[in-house]
Amino acid sequence: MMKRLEFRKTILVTFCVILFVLALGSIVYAVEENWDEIIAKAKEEGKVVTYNTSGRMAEAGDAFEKKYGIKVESLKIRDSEITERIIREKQAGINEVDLIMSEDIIGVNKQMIPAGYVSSYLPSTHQDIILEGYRDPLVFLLQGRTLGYNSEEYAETPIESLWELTTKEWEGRFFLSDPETTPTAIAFWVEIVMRPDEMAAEYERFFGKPIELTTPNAGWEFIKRLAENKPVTLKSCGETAEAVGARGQKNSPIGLYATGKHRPELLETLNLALKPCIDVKPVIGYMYPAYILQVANAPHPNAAKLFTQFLLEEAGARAWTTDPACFSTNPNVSSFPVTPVDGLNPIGGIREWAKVTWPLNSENTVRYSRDVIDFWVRYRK
Amino acid sequence: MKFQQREVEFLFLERNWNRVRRIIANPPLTLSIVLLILLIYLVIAPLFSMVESALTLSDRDSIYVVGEQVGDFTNYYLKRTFVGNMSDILFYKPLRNTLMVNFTMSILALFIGSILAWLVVRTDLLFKRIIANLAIIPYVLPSWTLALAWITVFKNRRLGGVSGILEYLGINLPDWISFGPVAIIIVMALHYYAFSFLLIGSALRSLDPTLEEAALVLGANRRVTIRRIIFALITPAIFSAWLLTISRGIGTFAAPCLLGTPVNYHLLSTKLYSNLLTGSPGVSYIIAVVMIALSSLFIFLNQRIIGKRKSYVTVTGKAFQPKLVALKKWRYLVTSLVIIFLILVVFLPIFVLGIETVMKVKGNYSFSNFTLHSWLGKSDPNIAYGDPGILRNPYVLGALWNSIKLGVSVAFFCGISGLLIGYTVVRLRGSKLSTILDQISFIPYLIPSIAFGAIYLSLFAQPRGFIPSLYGTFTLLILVTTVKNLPFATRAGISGMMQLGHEIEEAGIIAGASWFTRMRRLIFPLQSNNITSGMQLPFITAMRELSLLVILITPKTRLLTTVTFKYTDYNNYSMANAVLLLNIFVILAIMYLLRKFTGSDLAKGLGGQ
Repeated sequence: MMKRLEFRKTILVTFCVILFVLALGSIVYAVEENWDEIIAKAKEEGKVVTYNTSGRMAEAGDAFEKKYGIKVESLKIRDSEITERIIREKQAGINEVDLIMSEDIIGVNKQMIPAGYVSSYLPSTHQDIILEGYRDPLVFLLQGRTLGYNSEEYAETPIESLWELTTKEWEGRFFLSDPETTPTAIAFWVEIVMRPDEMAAEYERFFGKPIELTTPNAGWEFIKRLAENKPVTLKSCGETAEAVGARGQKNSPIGLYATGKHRPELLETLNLALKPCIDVKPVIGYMYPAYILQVANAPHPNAAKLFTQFLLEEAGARAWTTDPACFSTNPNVSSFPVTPVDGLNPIGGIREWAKVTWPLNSENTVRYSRDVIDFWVRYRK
Repeated sequence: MKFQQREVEFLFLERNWNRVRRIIANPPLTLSIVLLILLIYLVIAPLFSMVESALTLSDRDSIYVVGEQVGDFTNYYLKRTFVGNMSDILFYKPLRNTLMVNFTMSILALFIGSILAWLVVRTDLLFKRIIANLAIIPYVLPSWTLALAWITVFKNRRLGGVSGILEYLGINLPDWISFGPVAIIIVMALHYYAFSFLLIGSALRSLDPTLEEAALVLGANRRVTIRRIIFALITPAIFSAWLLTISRGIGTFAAPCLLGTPVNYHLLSTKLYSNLLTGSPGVSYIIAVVMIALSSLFIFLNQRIIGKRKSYVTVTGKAFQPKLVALKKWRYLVTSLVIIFLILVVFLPIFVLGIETVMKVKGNYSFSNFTLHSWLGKSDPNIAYGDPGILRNPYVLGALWNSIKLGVSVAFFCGISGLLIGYTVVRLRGSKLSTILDQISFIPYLIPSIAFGAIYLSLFAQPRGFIPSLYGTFTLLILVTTVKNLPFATRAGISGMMQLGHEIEEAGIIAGASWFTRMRRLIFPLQSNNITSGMQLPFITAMRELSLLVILITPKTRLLTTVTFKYTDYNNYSMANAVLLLNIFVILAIMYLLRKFTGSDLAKGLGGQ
């Protein structure tokens, strides 16, 4: 009887040990992915299909095809539309897209990931390399969206404080892409509302007296006054950059747009006189994340993994990182230009940029976007 | 006893069976039932789905509504739109703007259209044919063409960037000219006056001059004749034109978006769009329902007001040569004014867009800045992200092919369904079924395009019954565009069938021809001219449709309009305009060919005579 029980125990223990070993093995297996196998399978799959917010994906895709012989079919659409389409397609059981690049913080964190339509995947080769805070969900790129001015009219940054944009002098002269249709634009307003002390301190520094509030805090107060100062909202960052930088203007505006628009070739083909504002307090803008996510039930999952890994490397990120203030979340990838050069990247590398911009907080964005956009729309003149 | 009961049952069954047989034997009735089921599925179901979405909590909003789950029934959107502290901005102010803009715009359009129509039909104006042909071109152009041209000419400093041509010449323009309601009203009126021109023109043409003469003989002076005879007779046409203009205007998106949004001037259509994109979809569906209700209200009023007079329209139809009013010494002046007007609204916009396609750098009008890159250039990584000129660009040429395919298929299906619906409506005239068919087929006209596209996406993205998922297929594009254009097609079909006596078909019946033979050998050939006229408008709208389709397009099913949209998104206006011009050219060429070889007339496509 006793022996029998013992025997049972032994079996149970053995069983548990085997299970444990198996489980451990699978964890180890998950961490140590077999990249030879992934590459082989990816080549068998032959292609990757992506939805992306940036047209540069085509460039990165060409580089990927050159290296692995795997084709990338990329479609550039608005980020809100990516969310919409992925949801529709997954609900309809259509599996055509493998990978998305999106900037839609709410769509990613509130809609697609919770529903299981997309998932974050960090290649085992980059587990500890990618900057902390950007690993899950995986952000592969941080891009600056900052204030810029017309360098033909102004020799140097014409303002020194964000609060200056709420003054009479800049009435009707602040341009941005419409927060009502651009999700990241509103995320910056959320960030400002979340930092009332910094905004209040800056007010006192600039105007020399403490702020008188008509709203709950100095962040809200800034949004209200800015909205009342007749801002002009355009369709896109590109349009904003052109409106600010066109030559032959008097009383040219200040714009908030993707810092990448300062790429020298772009300025030349568009004939723009455009420089980023430096030394505006408390910040000159924000860094917005671009997520790379795997679509559920993708037809080419291994090729998608391989392409994700490729985008985290120099050769893949290059399509973007040649832009000023566009950084890979892999700190080993070089950014352009590494050292500050006149007008192009007067601030420096990612660490320097982090000091003059605010990152976007995805939780706050999800939580407060509606309130902030309502508030902005209500006061807008 | 039991046996008897069975016999009664049998008789009852037989009577029912006879009734069924009679229905089957009556093709118009069978056809009308089939059509009704189809229309309920394609028109009424989307409407219900829209209302359902407006009352269902979406995942994006679930965080802001405490205690309710995604997919729950909710009155959150209703409260937000109508009573919340956002209601004024989300709804009431855009509503006021929409009403103001559309009333003014439709009256202006009516004014321009009727004057042009009168000049062309009833006076001895010079170059009538050419003028008549040119006058409808603004309607054929995609609606944002004029808006873009307006910006190029009238843009002032308010929006920064490269200044407009007038500002470039040193003329300072106030904000209210460059952007906002005035600009929107003018641009929309210049687009929609074609409705009034075509409808009032054909009403004037079919006006029996003996009535005027009778009035003159009875001693009425010219003014009284115009007021009591001509106006009275063409009132229905004026009202239909006004109705078409205003209900179409309410759903217009491109011009208000380009000319209003930058300066914070919103209409219902632009609010619908922004809410669909990043706000609450529920709010946009409520706005859409309100827009539909508004348009329906105008139609109801229209029917109330003209009610009995409607019968006047069918009084004539015979060809008369009306006596032309001599413009005398004004003849040359009026002709030149009309021509200047047409140059301003037809040639100038096309020219302005054309210039931008051959400029390397915006705003530099010197010859050294000339380039044909947008049209013929080879791929250059530094220009336009390496896209080659549109005429050697497989992406654009593929889109061109798709657009033509869509236009032709939609025209074909609209022509057929318009004829079939027209046939059943006229043959069953007086019955409830006829009225219902007539009314349902008009509903798509009232649904704003953007909302219609979104609803079709949600309805047909998933497999439903025996219909597989249509997401990303060309079929879906054809389906949605056909249904959206059904109102035009049925109007043309009904007015065509009205003119066709029943005797012809009866002769066929007596000769023993089956229903299919009668349709094939009698109705179709006799109606072919009407069918081609009815096809023109669906063809044109399909070729220039953007807001309806933008959400349904995938790379495989790209169209010229969505390629234009893509290039404007890249801010590459020279390529965008080049594609737009290519699109305009193809539309005009095909219209010209159709006209030349079939003698079809656009006015008939609007239901005019």
